[in-house]
Amino acid sequence: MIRSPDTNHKAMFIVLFTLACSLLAMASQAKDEPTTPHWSFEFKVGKFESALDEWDTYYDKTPYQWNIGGSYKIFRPLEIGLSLGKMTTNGVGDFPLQQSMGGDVNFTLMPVNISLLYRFVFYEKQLLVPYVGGGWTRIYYRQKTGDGDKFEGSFNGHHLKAGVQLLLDSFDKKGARNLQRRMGIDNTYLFLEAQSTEAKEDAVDLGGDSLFLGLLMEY
Amino acid sequence: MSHLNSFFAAIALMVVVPHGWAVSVPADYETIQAAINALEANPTLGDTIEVARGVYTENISFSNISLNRTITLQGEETAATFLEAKDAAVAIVTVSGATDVVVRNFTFRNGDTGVVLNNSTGVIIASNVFRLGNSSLAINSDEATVADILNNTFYDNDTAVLRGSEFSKITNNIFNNNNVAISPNTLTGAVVYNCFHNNDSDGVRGTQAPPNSDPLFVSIDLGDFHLKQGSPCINAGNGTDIIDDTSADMGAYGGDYADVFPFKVQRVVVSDASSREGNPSIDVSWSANESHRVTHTTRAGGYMLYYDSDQSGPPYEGTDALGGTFPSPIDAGNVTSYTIPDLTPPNINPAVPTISNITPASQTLNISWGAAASATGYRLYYGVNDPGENQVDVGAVTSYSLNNLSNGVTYSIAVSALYQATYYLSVTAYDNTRNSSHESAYSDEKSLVMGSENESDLSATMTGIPEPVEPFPLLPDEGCFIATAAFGYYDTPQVQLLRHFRDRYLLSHFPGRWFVKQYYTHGPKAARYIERHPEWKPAVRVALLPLIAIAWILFKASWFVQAVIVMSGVTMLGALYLRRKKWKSAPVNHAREKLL
Repeated sequence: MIRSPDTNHKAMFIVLFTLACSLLAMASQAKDEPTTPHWSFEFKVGKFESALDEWDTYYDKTPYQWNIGGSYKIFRPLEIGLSLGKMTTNGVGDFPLQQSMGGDVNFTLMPVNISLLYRFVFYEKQLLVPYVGGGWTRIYYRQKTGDGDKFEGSFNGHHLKAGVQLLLDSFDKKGARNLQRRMGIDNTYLFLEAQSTEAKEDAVDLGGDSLFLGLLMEY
Repeated sequence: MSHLNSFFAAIALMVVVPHGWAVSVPADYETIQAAINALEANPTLGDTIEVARGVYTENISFSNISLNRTITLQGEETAATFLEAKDAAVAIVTVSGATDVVVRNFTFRNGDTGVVLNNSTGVIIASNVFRLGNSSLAINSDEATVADILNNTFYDNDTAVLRGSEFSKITNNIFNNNNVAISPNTLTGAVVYNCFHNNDSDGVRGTQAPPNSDPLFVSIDLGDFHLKQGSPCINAGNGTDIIDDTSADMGAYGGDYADVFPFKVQRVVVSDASSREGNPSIDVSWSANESHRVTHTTRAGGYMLYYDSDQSGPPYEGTDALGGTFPSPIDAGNVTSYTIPDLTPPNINPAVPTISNITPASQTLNISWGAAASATGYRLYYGVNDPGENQVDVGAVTSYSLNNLSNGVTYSIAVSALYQATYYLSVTAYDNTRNSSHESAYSDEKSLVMGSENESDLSATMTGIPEPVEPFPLLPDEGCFIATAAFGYYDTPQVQLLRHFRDRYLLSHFPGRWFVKQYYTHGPKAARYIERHPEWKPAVRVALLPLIAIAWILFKASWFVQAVIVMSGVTMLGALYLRRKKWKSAPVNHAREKLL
């Protein structure tokens, strides 16, 4: 149930990369200040790598995970957000008496995250926006076996995340203006995000590392 | 120069094109249209598309085809080669702007239109059955088309033939049970030798039509449109029959383009006649083929019996009937039942199978084994103490699931191979020409098991334990309603202990499963009551404590603690026993008070 050194190194690299990007952003200077958005909505899809050491033995090593969420900007760089995700995978289970593996198991994780996020945004229309954050996590789980048994419940935990957002408006300014005029969307970002979650009960950690690619809209 | 090139090209084509060669569907091309396209693109492929028996759901198009030779689309057997529309709104076959195309020996069904002929010449539609339904049009030929519509059977269509020109000839056809046979009434020429019966309107009857009477099809229900003896359409057409060189019959099974196959024999029944005959024998019976060519009064056809032992499907190469003097096929003559006598069923000892895998599930063991040589079936042995306690014949399979077993119990399992001779039989009909090519397709195959059963030795015994799959990681669930309500949260250690106790000790036997079922039925109500009345929670917790303690001892305590607890319990019971013994033997009043 202990995270492997490789996983920690990967997360560390992503955080350092994000900070480096933030320094680049800080090197730029603010120019003008259009309207500042207050809300954001995001959708992201990525790969999930469980913190459980034996995960690979039973399930797909890195199943897909999707996530939707929304945030409120307490002030421009600081936001509080709520997100809901889902990861589902099929695998096998144990036959402890026969001391073998087999059968069918469907395993679903649905993490709910409440996050505080700091974005290194210094002026509107900043091309690259690094961010870091973290918060409380509750992971709901459901295991269904081929025998028809079902195990449901939830673990509490926490998460940390970091990433970098690329402002798409810079590449299609006319489209961005149309979005702002018709739908009130001020900024649209493509983002890459790494997240590490820990939700542990009795030495079983349902968390893990996720790498997401997503789309975020501010309005 | 270009004319010279064309001349040499034509000469080359005449030399190169192998007239009469054929491509086959589906052997060479998956679809009929693919075969047509291939023939069009590559003249060296030949000029005939042979379509094997089967159902073909397509919209077939001969569009702008002019290959300086006749292209023939031919079904293997009219009654067994079906053309259906993929898009019902489009004709099953469209011939447009084409020359010299023949479509023959098909049964058209399931479409709004069977054949559309546009601006085409040299087209022959022959020896087909059109049975498209009473809202459909069988053949629609426009005014620019010259076609011969020969020896078709039109049954149960809205309009059988709608033509735009008298250049299209309509000869030797049977029109039965259609709304309109030939339309419009204004075009009356080139309609000769057709049989009409029971149409709402014959439209144009033309000349040489026999009086309106039942054509006597063999079986409309089975799709057998051969003619019975006494049909007015027999020998009543123009020309001769390719089958027997007599005057042409009308309908799909007469004239130059008819297929030569009698209809497949129906309702074959086989049974073991060994006890009656005194040696291994098989009774075979079937329904008579009532086609006039099979039942002919002076030149009757007959039936062939095909058989083989231990080998399903053709070729049927049995040799052992009547001590080997009646090898397959047997000419049974013009009868509808026959006894295949004095067979010698093979007597083979099958090889011993080997169990390859046993995988458990809840109350189930899935067993698989390798196929054993000569095995025609397998017998599975299983039991708690010995495999011989139970046995089940599982048939000719190499895997089987034993159900309704007890979870957590170790079963011993073995398998043996069985052999018993099996005969496979089929019947064909032949017509009065006694020509081997005039034999029907094989009937549906029947099989019969005969002779003694030989069993191999048992395989090596293997063990398996039925149990429910345990997911990874092993997580708590919300099943313990009452305990969850009492302790406030389902993943408290106490609730988890109870859940483990349920899975490990209650679900492994019938009384335990019954208890759990009752608990899940009534538990939620109790849990809701406790939630609404939290003052009861302490009491419920106290009530659950003994169970939790037992579960804790079973799951959490070390062996030392478990031993101490067991010894303490034994000591306490011993002390109680001794105290009670003293109590009974003490003087009544004073001594008992002292004991207290």
